[in-house]
Amino acid sequence: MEKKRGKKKAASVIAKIYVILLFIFIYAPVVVMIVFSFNDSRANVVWSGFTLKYYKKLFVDSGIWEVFGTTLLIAVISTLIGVFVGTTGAVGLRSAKFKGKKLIMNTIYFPIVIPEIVLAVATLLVFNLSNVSLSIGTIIIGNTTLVLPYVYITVKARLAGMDPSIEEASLDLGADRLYTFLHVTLPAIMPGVMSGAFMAFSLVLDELIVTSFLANAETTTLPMKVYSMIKKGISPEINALTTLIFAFCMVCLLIYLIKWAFDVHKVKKARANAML
Amino acid sequence: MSKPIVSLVNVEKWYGTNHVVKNMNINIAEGEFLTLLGPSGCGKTTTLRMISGFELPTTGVIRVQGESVEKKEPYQRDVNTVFQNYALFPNMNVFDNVAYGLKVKKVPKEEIKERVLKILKLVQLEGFEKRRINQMSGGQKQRVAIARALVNRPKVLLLDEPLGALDLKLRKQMQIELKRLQRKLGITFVYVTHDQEEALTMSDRIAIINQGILEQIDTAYNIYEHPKTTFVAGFIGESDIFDAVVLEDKDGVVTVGTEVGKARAVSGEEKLAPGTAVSISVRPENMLFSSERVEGFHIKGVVKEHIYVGNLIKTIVVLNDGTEVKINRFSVDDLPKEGDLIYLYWKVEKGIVLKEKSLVDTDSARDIKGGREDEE
Amino acid sequence: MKNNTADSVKKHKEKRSAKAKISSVVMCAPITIWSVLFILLPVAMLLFMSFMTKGPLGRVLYQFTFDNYAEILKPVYLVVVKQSFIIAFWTTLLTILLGYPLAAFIARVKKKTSGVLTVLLMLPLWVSGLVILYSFVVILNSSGTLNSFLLALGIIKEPLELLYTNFAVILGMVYMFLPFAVLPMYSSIEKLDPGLMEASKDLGAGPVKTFFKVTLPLTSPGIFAAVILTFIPCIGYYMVTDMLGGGTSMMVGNLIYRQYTIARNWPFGAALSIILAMIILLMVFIYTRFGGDLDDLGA
Repeated sequence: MEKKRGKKKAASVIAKIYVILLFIFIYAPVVVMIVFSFNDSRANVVWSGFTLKYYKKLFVDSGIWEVFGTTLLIAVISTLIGVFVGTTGAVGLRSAKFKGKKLIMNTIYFPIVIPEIVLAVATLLVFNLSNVSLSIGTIIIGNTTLVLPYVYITVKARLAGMDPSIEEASLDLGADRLYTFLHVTLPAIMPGVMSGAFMAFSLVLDELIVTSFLANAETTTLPMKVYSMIKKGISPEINALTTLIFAFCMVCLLIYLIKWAFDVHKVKKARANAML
Repeated sequence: MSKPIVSLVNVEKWYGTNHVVKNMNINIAEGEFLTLLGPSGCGKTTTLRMISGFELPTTGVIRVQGESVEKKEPYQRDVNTVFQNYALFPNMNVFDNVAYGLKVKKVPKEEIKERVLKILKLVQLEGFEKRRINQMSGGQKQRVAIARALVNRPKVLLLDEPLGALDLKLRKQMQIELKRLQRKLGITFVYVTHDQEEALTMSDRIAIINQGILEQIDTAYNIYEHPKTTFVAGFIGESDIFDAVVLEDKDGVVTVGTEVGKARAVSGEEKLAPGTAVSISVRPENMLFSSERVEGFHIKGVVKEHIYVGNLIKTIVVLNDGTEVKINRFSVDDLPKEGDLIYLYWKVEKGIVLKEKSLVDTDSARDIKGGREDEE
Repeated sequence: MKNNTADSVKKHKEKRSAKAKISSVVMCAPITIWSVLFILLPVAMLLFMSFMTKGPLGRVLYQFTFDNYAEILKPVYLVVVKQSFIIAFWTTLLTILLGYPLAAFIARVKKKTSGVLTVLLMLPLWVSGLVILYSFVVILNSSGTLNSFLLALGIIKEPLELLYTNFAVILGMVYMFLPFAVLPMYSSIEKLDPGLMEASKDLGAGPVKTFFKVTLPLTSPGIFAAVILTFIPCIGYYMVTDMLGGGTSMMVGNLIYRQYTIARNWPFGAALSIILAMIILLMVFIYTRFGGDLDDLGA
């Protein structure tokens, strides 16, 4: 018995060490990125003293802010369209009956199963052969297609977990289908919609392949700029910018965790009250 | 019956090639508590959903207050439903759940508040308005679901196995409360359940449905004492059923021959010709026995065993063709010994003649009644 | 309506109200139109283009030909295809081997901890996979972080040539796809009924046997989803090879990219894309045949 427990403990220690090592592997490049954003040398290789000049430069250099703005615009619009199309689609296809429904339902998964570059090339061909000139619009269409399945899947999963009789209850109580969708279905699937939107947004923000294929010469997004800078030899401003985004994400995560802990506490308290 | 508030006329429902409701004809009186009772998958819930409008009948007409509801969406019908798993809106508190129907109908705010508080008081949920649904117990959720439907003052309240998820004790308590509520409000209740005890406790009338067919619709007393089909006799309570052929129908007594011997039963409204195939149903508590032959009966068997079930004793008797018959007795006095040969009989009025359902095809039965022309 | 008896057995159409039908059409319209216009049509165009002829100066001649597919069989390109599959294979293998224990760990800890670990796992990629990938250039450089570190410790005397090798490419690929591979494996391990393992041990199987006979087969859908999620993008993701492989290694993704940038041979690029898509759809088909759920590939 004693020996068995000792064995188990050893296994758990090994598991913990393994996970820690893996996270070191995952976070090593992040640390390097953060450290070199403060490095007083353009050559990103050796440490030559602490500086904040890249952060200063970042806030002065209007070029990067414009690029950032374009990227945000594309991400926001693609996400909004993707959320609209994906959510209505997941709700609609659940009960619809028409010829070709099966084909459509399988087609939606295409953008995740085929490599991005294939999707990018294919979409480019459509615009090219139909004489649509490339613009921010074409980038948005390509990115929306790319994120559509993610929204569709998360909303679909949420719908599967929803009790369908609450929609019937709403109809039964005199609400028409639109009112039911807005007041009952949508609130019930909201967590799915939100996580789909979040996934979509973060995917588009970091999207390079589809975007660069569908962009014209004037449009540049952050990943495109980063990529071209990397090819020329990176500028530490990009490190600085990424560090800021990273810090922002970390703060969001912390706030979320604190709120979550708080909510759990509240629910527990309410449950205890209900018991009494 | 006074003018029916809900009537189903020749209602049929098909799912693809699956015939789930067969030529259903039911009239429901105003203020009545009607229960649709049957085994799971018998079509009772589908029938209910056709009244509420979530399913459309393949053919046939459903009328509410004399008006056909075919063209009416669920939200345009003056009926409300209490769902099996409550179907409360998880994103709203108790007050908003109950107020939902009134808000949709744009009832003034003051009136909404007044009506919601009143109905919550009626279902004994005063002070729970601000509670979230996930903080409520099963019984409380059930009350909210009932209040949410009743606050709209529906003409008819449909209840789809509403007590199915509650534990036994709570279910018994809610049965009585629901019955009381129905009496007090005078609203017509159409109640779906597979629990025969629940049906017998609460209903004014019970409609027994089997494989999409309405077997019998009558009061609890009549269903139990005078079942019309072998299914009803077997489904409600216990019955000993004998296949038989009519030998004679005279002076209110039917004499029949069975595989195991002669027997008697009470005559029905129509006279039966000799040679008619029937079944004879006898409740085990009405089954009597004797060590000698009783006049008019000639069924004998060997006592196999006694089973003590608390307040009663079940005696199993094996007949000479191998079938087993149950006798329920409430006292241990005069029990025959295991292995004894005994003669079975019953008071003539306790033997019920059932027309052999299986031999009479439903479609041809409809033809006899002059049924619809679009079949056959 | 006069039916005969035979008709009463025919399949009856489900009856729905007109309003229910309209609302269903309205809800389905956007996704149906979008899927047809921006997924089905592009794939059709790609197929069409793959049979066209390359014209002078990167133009396309609209003449039917099989040449583009024949071209792929040339040794120059076959080498690239082979290289792609070798790198994708090693990446996938390493990712699964590294990821499975992590997934098992995350599935075993408390709900809250597993949530935090998942977010921490995804965070670097959410922020910017590209920049972080570039950090690998800094780390693996001959005068970079890792080499300086090892030199300072005296473990090595000469700086190692790490950058611009297949090793660097596979390392970068594993980094990029590990989080995506962990998620489906995690969800299939989490669904596992712990009673099964106990039952297996109760019946006398040791931990190793239990793992291979019970745990592994039951979590195989998750593993296969992870394989697909690693293998597919790996072949098409040209940035990693570009940044960490220098000019030395080339993948099919790079080859397609070239046809649309430097080489300007669109029909050949289309043919390559079609072949790539076919191989992957075949894998996905096998995946669904063995009970895999497409939804697991998206979340």
